[in-house]
Amino acid sequence: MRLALSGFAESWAQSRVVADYVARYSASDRFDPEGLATRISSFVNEVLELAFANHGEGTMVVDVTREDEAIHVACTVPTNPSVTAVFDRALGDLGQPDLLKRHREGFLALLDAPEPDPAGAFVEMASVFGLTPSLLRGDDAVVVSLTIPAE
Amino acid sequence: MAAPAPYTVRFVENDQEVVLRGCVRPRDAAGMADVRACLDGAAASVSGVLFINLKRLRYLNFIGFCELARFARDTGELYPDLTVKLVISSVVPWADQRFSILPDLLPNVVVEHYDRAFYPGQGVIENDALIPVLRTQTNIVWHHERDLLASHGMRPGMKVADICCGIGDFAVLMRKEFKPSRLVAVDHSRPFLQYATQVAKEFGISDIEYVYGDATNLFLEDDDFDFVTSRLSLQVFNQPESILRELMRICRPGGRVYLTNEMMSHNYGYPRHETVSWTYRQIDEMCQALGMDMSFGPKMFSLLTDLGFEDIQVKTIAITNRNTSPEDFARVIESWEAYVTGELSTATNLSEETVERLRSGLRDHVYTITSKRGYATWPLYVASGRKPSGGGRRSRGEAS
Repeated sequence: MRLALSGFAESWAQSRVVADYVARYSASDRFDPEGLATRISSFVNEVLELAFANHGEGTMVVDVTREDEAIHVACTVPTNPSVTAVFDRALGDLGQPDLLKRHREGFLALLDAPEPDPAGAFVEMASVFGLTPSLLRGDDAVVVSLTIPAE
Repeated sequence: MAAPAPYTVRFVENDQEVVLRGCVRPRDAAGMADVRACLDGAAASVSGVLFINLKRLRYLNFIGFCELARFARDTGELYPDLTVKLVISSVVPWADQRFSILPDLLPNVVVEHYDRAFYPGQGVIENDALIPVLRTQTNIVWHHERDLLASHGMRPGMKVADICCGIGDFAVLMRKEFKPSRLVAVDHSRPFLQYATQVAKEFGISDIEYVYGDATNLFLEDDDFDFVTSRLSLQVFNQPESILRELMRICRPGGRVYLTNEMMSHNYGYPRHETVSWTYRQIDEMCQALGMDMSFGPKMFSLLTDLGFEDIQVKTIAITNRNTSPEDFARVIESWEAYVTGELSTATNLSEETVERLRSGLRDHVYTITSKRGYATWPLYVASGRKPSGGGRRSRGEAS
């Protein structure tokens, strides 16, 4: 799916709409499609919300690959150096041990932050839901990949 | 004009409960200011416990989660004696994992898993040990029920929901007989649904939507289905009215809700009627101990009436060893024996002696079924009602 960022960024609701569309398509003929769609949409939405607020110019590409055991979603987001830095802060530090401890100990501090911390959602995704997004950095784009177990 | 919010929030004062439903994905805290205002207002006006009903909150982004947590934290500071109880359902796949962090961090927060509390016999009725029981039952009941369905208003091409579908075999038979335009089958047992999905795959069926769900909080639209069925299910829950209200909600005005339930204590076999009757009374009591009412069948008329259904029809399916293959009938009772003397007896801590009496009584029932001079019955009650155009009666505090 190719989405012009100029249009995507016009409305915050677009993240929800695209996440739900991807989720419905991906889960349509799977076991408990409603439950799977809910999970896919929840995770993809967090990536799209990050891209909504942080992107360069051009077109965002959402690739979906369906396998028996998992759904793979890769979002390619055009960036510039400052945007790449935000993605780095949000996703670049998820491979560390004790991530759950970091989530638990840091959660209350998030509530007092003047702005939402983009890392919060992904630390939770990795530590609580066991779903670690990967980040691939290119010259003028980043690719955020999710592998969501089908059941 | 701005699009309507994809969620609803309301405070039900009598229940000290804020009900938040739908999809909450704000960009920042200001994006759910109405939710926060409702929560703050509720917290200021109650004492003891404030319930936050999240059973049908399908989506919540991390920003929204932080705002809910912020509310809980602030409430703990403002009202130290107030407990914030978050009521969640296992049907929402992220809820348990996400909210489990809060009670550890915020001592005023409690998380309640609604459906674990609601289904007291859950471990017994959702276990895959029940699959052979359900299969054999459907095999003999369908022959009687197929014609009854039409007399209760079922027609080809209807949009149908089968709630508490079990292993999905009834849905498969309905699909074949009535060719519904849409058929959604919902159950709260993952083993049952896995079985149903596997069977559908093997049969080459791809147009039945099997969905994991909670019968009292379905993620299905209001007023949507022409025909809503729930068979042999209200009897296994301790709040059948909650389920029936939900069936009514998803049924369109003018559509029908169709139910079947048993009167276990009326199961009968002659000769050996004394041991047979004792056995079913005993099973009835065991089920009551687990929150079930296996004699719910005759009570359906009253409940349908109380909820405002119209044109209520009640019929009975009298399965006997004279109108049903004795071999098949006996197989049903034999499948009960394994279940009753196994899962059910364990769950109710029966003595060995009582378990043996039960086993003997069920075998006596099989004897009466297969004996040339025996007569055995298994009565089922069938009821349906039409949803009025006004939508029926609603309970206090219920959403319109």
